[in-house]
Amino acid sequence: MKLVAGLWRRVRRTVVELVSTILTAVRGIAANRMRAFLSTIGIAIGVATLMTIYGLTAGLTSSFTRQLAALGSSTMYVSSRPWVIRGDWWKYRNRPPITRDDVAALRRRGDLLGAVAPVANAAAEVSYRGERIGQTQVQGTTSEYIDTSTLKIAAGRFLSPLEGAGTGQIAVIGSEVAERLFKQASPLGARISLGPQRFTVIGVLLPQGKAFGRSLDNIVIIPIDTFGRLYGMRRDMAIAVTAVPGAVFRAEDQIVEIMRTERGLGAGDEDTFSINRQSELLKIFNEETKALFGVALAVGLVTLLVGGIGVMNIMLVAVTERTREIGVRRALGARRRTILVQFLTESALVTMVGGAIGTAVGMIGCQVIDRVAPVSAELSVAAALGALIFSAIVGLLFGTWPAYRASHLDPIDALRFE
Amino acid sequence: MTALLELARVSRLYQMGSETIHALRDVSFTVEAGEYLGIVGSSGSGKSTLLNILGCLDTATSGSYMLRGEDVRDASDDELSDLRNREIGFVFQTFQLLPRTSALENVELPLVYRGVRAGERRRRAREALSRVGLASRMRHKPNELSGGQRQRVAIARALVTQPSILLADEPTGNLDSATGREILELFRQLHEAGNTLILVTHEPGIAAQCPRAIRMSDGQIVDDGPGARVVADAAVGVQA
Repeated sequence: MKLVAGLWRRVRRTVVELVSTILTAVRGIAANRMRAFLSTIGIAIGVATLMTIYGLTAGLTSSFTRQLAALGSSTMYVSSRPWVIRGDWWKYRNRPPITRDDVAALRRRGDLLGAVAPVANAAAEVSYRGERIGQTQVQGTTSEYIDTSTLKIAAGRFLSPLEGAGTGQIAVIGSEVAERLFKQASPLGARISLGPQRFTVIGVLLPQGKAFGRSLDNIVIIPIDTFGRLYGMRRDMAIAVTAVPGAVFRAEDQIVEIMRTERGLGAGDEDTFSINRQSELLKIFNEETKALFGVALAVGLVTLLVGGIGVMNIMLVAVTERTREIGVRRALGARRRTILVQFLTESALVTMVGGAIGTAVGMIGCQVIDRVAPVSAELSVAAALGALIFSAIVGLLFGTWPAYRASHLDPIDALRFE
Repeated sequence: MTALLELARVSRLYQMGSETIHALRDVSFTVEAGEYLGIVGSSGSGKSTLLNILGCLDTATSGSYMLRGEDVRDASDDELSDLRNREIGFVFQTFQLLPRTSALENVELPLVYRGVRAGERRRRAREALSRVGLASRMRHKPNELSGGQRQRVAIARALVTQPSILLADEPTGNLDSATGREILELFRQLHEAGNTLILVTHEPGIAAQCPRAIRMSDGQIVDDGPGARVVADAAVGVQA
């Protein structure tokens, strides 16, 4: 019982001291607002830098992930060149383009392949009764494309197998195109213009969002042959291919084999095509952003270090200024630890104020980037909270030396200090 | 009955470079509960060192200091802090109030270090301030109070923990003589109410008013007796 009572007394004393300490610290900072602000400005700049860069990286990542998601996570893209060329670009320069024959060969012989869809891209103006979009992405493909991508139909339908192969004047449009050309009205059955030609809208896609400031929903999908007639078939094409379930790796081998046979490559010849996947892009992107984030982190940390030293300096001044107060507190019964905690609390509060200012500035920075630049910057509540906790830690770290000095002053000397 | 405090052959040495300074030599005396003791001496007589040891701010180099039957010499820094909080009420020459802090909060401070909750703290601090006649000045900050009022706040702060000893170091040194007399009158009343007071001063006139006085010189006690007698003897150069 006695032990419990003693423990309870100690806990109560610690709590009472801590509450009083925090109140004192808050009042001290409020009384010296300008000084606290100036001393913590370095912390604020450091945190603002970190927050902005963090937000930018997070924004880039989510932009990129969103764009990649549209590619389908297990879809392979057969194209003449790899998506990411590292090193010898010349090697790929003279590769022949992907042709309809390649598509036909894959479709004919690929028993491990699910959907096989040629995809070609162009940019064009699209209009409907005076409403126009200056530049929209026009994609030529077949009905199977919907199975290789993450596209979803919101209204109407996608290209049918017959239409996809044919040269019909029909189109599936993205949600943004639908909105801008038709406002509230239903676009189904309407005839939109792509250049000189007219297309009947048969379907509208679900929104996919933005990536890198560009809408993924500003798109018009038309049958591949129609596309060829309109824009020419010589331009580079890709083939989106999915594997039948459970045959992902064997499917890739099969593609290589079919393509090599189709192109008449000998045993010693190199491939004249590349197989691309979303995951490779993601890997490269992650590597790049990691490097960027690393540099940013280093810059932010150096700023915080400088800011922390500034706070330490101010705290050392505060300890000297308040030597007599420390003496009085010690005379009245404050233990060394109490004084230590008091000064640690103060420096942590000062840096947290800096952290809060920095977070606010960082958030504004991200908003500005969002408005002005084509990339988005995203700041989460967790990031803001993390910044506050981090700045408190900086305060504790750089407050340790001043607080230690304060707590180890001799009470007699401290009381006599002039 | 054991004495409230008992010093036995207390010495305090300081090392100043290669020189050893004897601030206190073999000081022995006892104080009973309820006594009003003046410690008088010129500067450098060792009275400040003695005050620091009595106040548990410093410890003796040799000898023993028993405070309410507890040996202070072996106390750790934390234990000394707790002893100061529990047993000692300090009153300083320069008041030593926290600036920008109301009288009430200044008085509450020692109770914070005892872990007393805010409501109880406030109640006891009000009580202590009323005892020193400052009931109407509780919300004032030190810079809004006169010197005498500040010293009253400091006395309230010393009283609020109901310490064993009220230890006053030149409490009238920064006050004009009229205000000084008021403070001394307050001390007399506190003594009558049963408090134990030790007052350190260099002014013989003040020591003369103490029922008992100790005269210090060169780190030693040279006289111990009724205040008026000790002061009178000092004036004519008699050494006990």
